[in-house]
Amino acid sequence: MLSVLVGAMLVAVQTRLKYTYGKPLGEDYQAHPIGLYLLMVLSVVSANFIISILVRVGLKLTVALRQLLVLWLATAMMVVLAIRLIPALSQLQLAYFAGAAVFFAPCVTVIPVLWKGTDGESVSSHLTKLWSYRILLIIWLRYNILARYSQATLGILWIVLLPLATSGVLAFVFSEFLRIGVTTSDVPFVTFFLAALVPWTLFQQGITKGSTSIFNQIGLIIQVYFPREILVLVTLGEALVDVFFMFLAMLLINAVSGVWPNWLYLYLPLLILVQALFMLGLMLFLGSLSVLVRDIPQLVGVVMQLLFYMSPILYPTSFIPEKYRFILAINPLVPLFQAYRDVIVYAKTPDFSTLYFPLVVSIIVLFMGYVFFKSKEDGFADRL
Amino acid sequence: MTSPISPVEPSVEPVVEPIIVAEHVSKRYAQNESRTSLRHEFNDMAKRFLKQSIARKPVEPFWALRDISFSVPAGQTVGIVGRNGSGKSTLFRTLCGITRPTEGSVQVRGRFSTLIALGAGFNQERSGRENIYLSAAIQGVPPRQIESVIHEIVEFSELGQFIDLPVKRYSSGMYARLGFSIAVHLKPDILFVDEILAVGDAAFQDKCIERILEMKASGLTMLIVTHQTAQVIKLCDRAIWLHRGRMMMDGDTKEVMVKYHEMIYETEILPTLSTTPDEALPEPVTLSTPDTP
Repeated sequence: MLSVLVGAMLVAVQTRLKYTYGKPLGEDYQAHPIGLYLLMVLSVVSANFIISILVRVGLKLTVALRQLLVLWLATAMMVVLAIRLIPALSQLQLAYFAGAAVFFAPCVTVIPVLWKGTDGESVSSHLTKLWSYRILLIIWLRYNILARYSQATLGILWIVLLPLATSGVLAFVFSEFLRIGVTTSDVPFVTFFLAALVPWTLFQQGITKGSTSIFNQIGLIIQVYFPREILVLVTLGEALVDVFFMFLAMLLINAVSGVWPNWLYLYLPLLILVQALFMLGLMLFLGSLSVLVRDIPQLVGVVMQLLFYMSPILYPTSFIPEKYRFILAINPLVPLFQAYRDVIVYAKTPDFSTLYFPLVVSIIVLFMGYVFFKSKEDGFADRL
Repeated sequence: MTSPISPVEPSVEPVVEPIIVAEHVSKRYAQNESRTSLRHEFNDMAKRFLKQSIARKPVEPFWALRDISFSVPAGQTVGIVGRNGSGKSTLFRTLCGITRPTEGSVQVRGRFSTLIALGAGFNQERSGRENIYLSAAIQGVPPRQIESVIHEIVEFSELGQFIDLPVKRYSSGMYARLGFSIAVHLKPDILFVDEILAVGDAAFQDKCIERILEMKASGLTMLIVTHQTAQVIKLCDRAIWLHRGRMMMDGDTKEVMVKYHEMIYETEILPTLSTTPDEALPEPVTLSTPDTP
């Protein structure tokens, strides 16, 4: 129990550290990071202390509730202290951070317990079991990918041809007919567009297939036991492999239009990792939810369509009018796409301060998604 | 430190460590659990809105298993008998961890292999050989342990050169034979068998029985579901008789089988024939295993 508490605290502290430095609204951040860190540690420790005294005194609290109170109290203390002691700190930043902390605290503490019921095993025991099945994951993934492409005559070329054709048509229509390319004249529109389209395709494929990954395997689930999240992981793996080929195709197109790979591509695995964590969380959540509510995959299709146009894929972020910028603040894909673009198109180091937000959201979504998935897992065989 | 999350483990300390323990296992299926679409929800809502006076029909829960308790010591072979729908398969699924019991607890120590769904999880496009690895991995056996037995598996399945064909081209018999061969060669501690004689032709069935007897001799624990009385008597040390989700008898194979037959022939057939026709077909006792001298 204690370890859970400590773990949650660590996550929470990190969450906060990261939130503070995110600048989703684009303001410049000015403050003393060291001082802020100290304040955080101080307020977390003292909040822990206060709550434990309350518990000693005789306040009956469940672990989750206690964690929640510690988090909230620490956040409140930190904000107050920060306003008092570091006047230079951007107040809007602080408000944003506090809001996020207040919102996400129950996500990592109370909600998982509510979902889990009372007889659940711990997350770590699930992960151990999953680890023992890693070979299944590898074999499954390999055979699925081989099977998919060994049938068609052109084989693995299809993975490259399909995205090439799609991106070719889209790029042609948008740069020649709609003339969005005007504002991105410093780089070819195709390159600009592809740098976000490729990660988007990864996201879309993963989520769309992930939401059906469980009930597409009814036959297997009702007959054999294995950790069900493997189905979701296999789906994610397939999407990653597909998109890797698309990425190669993109390199080819870029080379033709004069944009060559650069050393900063070494950042890409990091960006992909953040995106994969985020996707995995969503896929686990949607995959298990669509067993309970069969309409989810259709809904996902519609939402994906909307999200495609709401995200800066076809247009740069600067196209979004000021009053709609809040969309950028809540969509964790935006900073990610921006980072991909920085690396691939402009050969710039991605702006890490904007990446804290997607990272934190990814971790929280993954954690919640996994707990939700595991709480529903036992019912899969009965519901299908 | 007390908390609501920590599971309370019932500590069972028997003299001989049993390998399978089921304690007061019950499994309930609610009828409404199959409603998984929003459409059903909207329909329901609309109906309730239009005819508010009609109360929603209370859903009768169906208990597939009711308070089943038993334990199996290592090395024992247990036959599970009962009519169609008596809960045998649900019991198996519960033991395999596919579903969780509504009440009670199940403990299975050691690695088990199942002869329930032969060839579940095969990738249709890949060859039989590759599917051996896949199928083993699903049951938790890594490829390097398969390398040493792959010849035996192929040989036992009698697939010959067809082993390198995609399994989608297999006949159902070939499919089942491969599945059976994999399951019996994974060296499990426990084997769950559901209707083994559904596999292949008479000759192959004989081979299966022989193989199962061999494994039994080497100390394997087995749970067998079958409608073939002769098989139960031949293979099992003990029989458990389930009836409508409840345990009717648990004990010596012959005694249980005698009682079971008395029951199904004397008291059950006539009343159920008129009400539930699909349940009322008893297995003829004599028409069972192929003759083995």
